[in-house]
Amino acid sequence: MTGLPWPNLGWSAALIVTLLWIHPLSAQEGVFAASATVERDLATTDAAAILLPVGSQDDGAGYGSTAWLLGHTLAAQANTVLGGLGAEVTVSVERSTTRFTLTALPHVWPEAWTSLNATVFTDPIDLETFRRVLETLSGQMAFREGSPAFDFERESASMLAPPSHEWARNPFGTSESRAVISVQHADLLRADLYHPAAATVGFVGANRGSFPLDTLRPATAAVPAAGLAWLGGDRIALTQEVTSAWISVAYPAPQSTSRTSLEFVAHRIRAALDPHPPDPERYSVDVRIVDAPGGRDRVGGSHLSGGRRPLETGDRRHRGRHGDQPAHGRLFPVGTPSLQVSETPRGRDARVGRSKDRGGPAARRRSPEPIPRYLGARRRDARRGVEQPW
Amino acid sequence: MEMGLRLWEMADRSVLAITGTSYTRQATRMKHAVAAAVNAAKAALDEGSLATAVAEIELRYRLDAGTPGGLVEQVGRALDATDSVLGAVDYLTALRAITVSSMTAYFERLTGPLVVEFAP
Repeated sequence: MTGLPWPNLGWSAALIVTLLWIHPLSAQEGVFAASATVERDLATTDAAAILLPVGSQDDGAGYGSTAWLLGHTLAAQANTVLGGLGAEVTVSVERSTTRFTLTALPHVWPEAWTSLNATVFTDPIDLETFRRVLETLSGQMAFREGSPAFDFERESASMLAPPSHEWARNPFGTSESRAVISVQHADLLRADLYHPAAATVGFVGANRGSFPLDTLRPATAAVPAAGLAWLGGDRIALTQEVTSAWISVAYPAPQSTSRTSLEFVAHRIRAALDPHPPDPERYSVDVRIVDAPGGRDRVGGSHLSGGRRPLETGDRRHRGRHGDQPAHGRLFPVGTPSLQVSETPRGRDARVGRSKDRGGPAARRRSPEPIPRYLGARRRDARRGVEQPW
Repeated sequence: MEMGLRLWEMADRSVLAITGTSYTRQATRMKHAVAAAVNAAKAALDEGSLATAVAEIELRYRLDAGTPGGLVEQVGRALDATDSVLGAVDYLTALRAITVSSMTAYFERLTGPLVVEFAP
């Protein structure tokens, strides 16, 4: 471990940390909260990510989607400038983070990096680009809003933070919020929160010595803790007239759990739950790690504290034409060993299995209580847990 | 209406295959677009568009080679085609050497077209 003062900012930050464990890095003073370079002489391209602690939780009340529009507008502007240069920018705006990723041919790296920095932090927001991005989002959301999958995403988020919490806000806003948002709102958000000193930057590539921002200044920004996150959430089964059913189960993990361990567990759970061979007509599974607002530890061991990274297991099950029932009791035991990687005293690998008893009673006591969400044609009492047949 | 472009590499020649698909109502428009595609591309050639295309192709090529598996595939494919272990590198060198005049010459060498049409 490098000892970097790495803020807990989400997937990309953790991904970069993982890389840091593998490769040597160099770091010096600079303008960013934290940054690191990973030099690979044989890299075919250069890439860098700028991670900002800005997301939909920072949208003002009634102005949902501002952060999303801001991020995607700036990325579109950057790509307009970089078009034809051999570089491209992608952006991901989540609930608490915004990540710009630049990939460029090595010989255009300095120009591309300088251009991205100017676009993200200083250049004026282009009004026409903003309007185009807003129009595209509104067009996409016209088809998504009201869909069961969209409603289920909202319910899944409410597992991790109360619906009234800023973090639970829909990143894409509502038709009402998008109707009133202007480029001025995006500009204000950027002026308030888009600061290099709050950003974390990682670089991977072959441009030895040419990466201009090497800092180890202590992080000044992180995902703000928000009190009793998942403890405050109501457990409500969302019932709609649908032909498919979804269930989502979140496993709060302590903040001390290493990201690598969580990734490993997520991989094992995904491998265990995914039908083999794939059977998308029957059901599909998604397992992901979500950085939720801070919350009280739900794990039995007193040596664990905090709970910022719930491991969320989404299992979308399709009922077949003949009313096939999903395999009962699979999600819970498979997800149960989620903390064994980091918490088992003997350091044993996680054993992810389908048997309810595979993890053992002690392991189950150490593991966090799963929080289920169910969406389906029939109302269920999610409080009774996913071990109960539905 | 959908358009597609493929390069078929055979032992003695290569084929640039432009395909179009549409409902009957748009068939005439689609056929005109397919027939005009090569001339339109030739007419649009200039230094700027060529530089953009070269940069995009090189970026894609390098991104594809960014993983061990992708690198093996790119190098292996080039080795298979050229019998040279430097085939992939030579490809990038040749890519950067493309000019408007060399592309124009390439267009001039195209023969055909051979047209195949499936209709209801």
